[in-house]
Amino acid sequence: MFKKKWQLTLTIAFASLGLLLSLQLRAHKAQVNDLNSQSSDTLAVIAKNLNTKYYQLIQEVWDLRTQRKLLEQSASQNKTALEAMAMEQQKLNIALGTVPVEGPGLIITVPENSENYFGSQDTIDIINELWNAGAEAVSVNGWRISNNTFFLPTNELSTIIMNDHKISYPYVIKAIGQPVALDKGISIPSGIIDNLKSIYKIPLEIKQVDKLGLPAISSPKFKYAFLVKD
Amino acid sequence: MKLHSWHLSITLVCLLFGTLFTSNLKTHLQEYNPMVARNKTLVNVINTQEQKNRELESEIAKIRKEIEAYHASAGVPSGLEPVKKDLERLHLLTGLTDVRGPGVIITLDDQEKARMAKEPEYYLIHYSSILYIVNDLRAAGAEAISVNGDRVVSTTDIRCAGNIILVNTHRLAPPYVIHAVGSPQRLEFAARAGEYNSLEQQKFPVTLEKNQNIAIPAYKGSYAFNYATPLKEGKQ
Repeated sequence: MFKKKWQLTLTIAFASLGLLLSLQLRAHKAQVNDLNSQSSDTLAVIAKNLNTKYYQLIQEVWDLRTQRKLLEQSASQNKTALEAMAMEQQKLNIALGTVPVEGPGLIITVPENSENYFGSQDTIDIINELWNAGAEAVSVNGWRISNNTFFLPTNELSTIIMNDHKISYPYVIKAIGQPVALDKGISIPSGIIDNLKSIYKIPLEIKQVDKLGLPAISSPKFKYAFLVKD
Repeated sequence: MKLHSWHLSITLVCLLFGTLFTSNLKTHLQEYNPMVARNKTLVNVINTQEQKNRELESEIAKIRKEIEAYHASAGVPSGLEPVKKDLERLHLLTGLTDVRGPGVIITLDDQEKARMAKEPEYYLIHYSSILYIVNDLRAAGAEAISVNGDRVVSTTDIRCAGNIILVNTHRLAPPYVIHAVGSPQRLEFAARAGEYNSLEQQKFPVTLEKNQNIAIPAYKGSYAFNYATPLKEGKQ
């Protein structure tokens, strides 16, 4: 089959090369998503987040079980069924942002500063951090954040588009939740807030408060998404 | 000695072989790092916790289905029909149901270079790209969004830990597939004007396709409100 010796050598060399190459690719692919190759800090963050979520999930299971029980008991009693349904209604209206809410929390203020740009992506990042830290409801400059809130840059450095309006300095982000947990959660070293403060020198002010109120927004309407029934 | 062209080939192959071999060895050596042993416990904790959370999520899905079935049955007193209707609307709007509709499918992947690069982070998709694309899609009126099958709701956080991207605290692996339901034209336009475009410019393997029938699963997590209480209008 091989007319010359070097053809065999070359074939073997190429075959081994291919094998090694695929091994290497596999090793790298595995490494990127493999927990074993992450640092202790990273693993600790993941573990902590999972634990927080665990308690939220337990609470949800508890809420839903109570609701189911009330519904089952209430075959003939309007009152209990209504109670169960009203509970769920209230909860989902808070999630949707269609009822005003109050509670303890955190107020983050970004004052006007001439040197450093604070833009739409910074706002998105901070809100994202707040959700992770356990925020239950958030507003920016008096507008409640919902599942269809968005932020876009404008041509000017001093304004941000938030949904259908422009907002400007000072940007005031309010979040309801456990104040200390929120503060600690968003202030992790090299996190978004830390970087904005220490690298970009944005004079952010963070204040824990016992009570703050957030306004409601009007309910969205779906035009494209429809329910799938199984 | 006379030089043949195959001499060159062999040399090149051997050179490549050597480089790859050492790099392969290096990757393997990392596995025997003492840090890895120390991290074993943490990895076990994570795996166990992920398992527990998954169980709770399926329990939540199960009870939600049961409650829905109960609402649909004649069990609910007829006087409560309006409340029932309202709850159905709320479930749809808060992402607690599977939905379908027209929209776009966006896929993002790491660059091939990331596998060999000394500083792979420049060639990896970062959580922030997903976060900003979600924002762009919301700006185009997206009604439902999912990332790798995880429904994005108002309280969803999209973050990273090390080089792992987490959505709703679930670990994701590339490629990242974003589904969005809404006007396909508007969604595509907004995506191409935003973060998607910059990834494309940076030569990331990204794709965007319009689709008339996109399925997006329900949100499996919780809505827990322990601190936020509603302020009822007209309440004294």
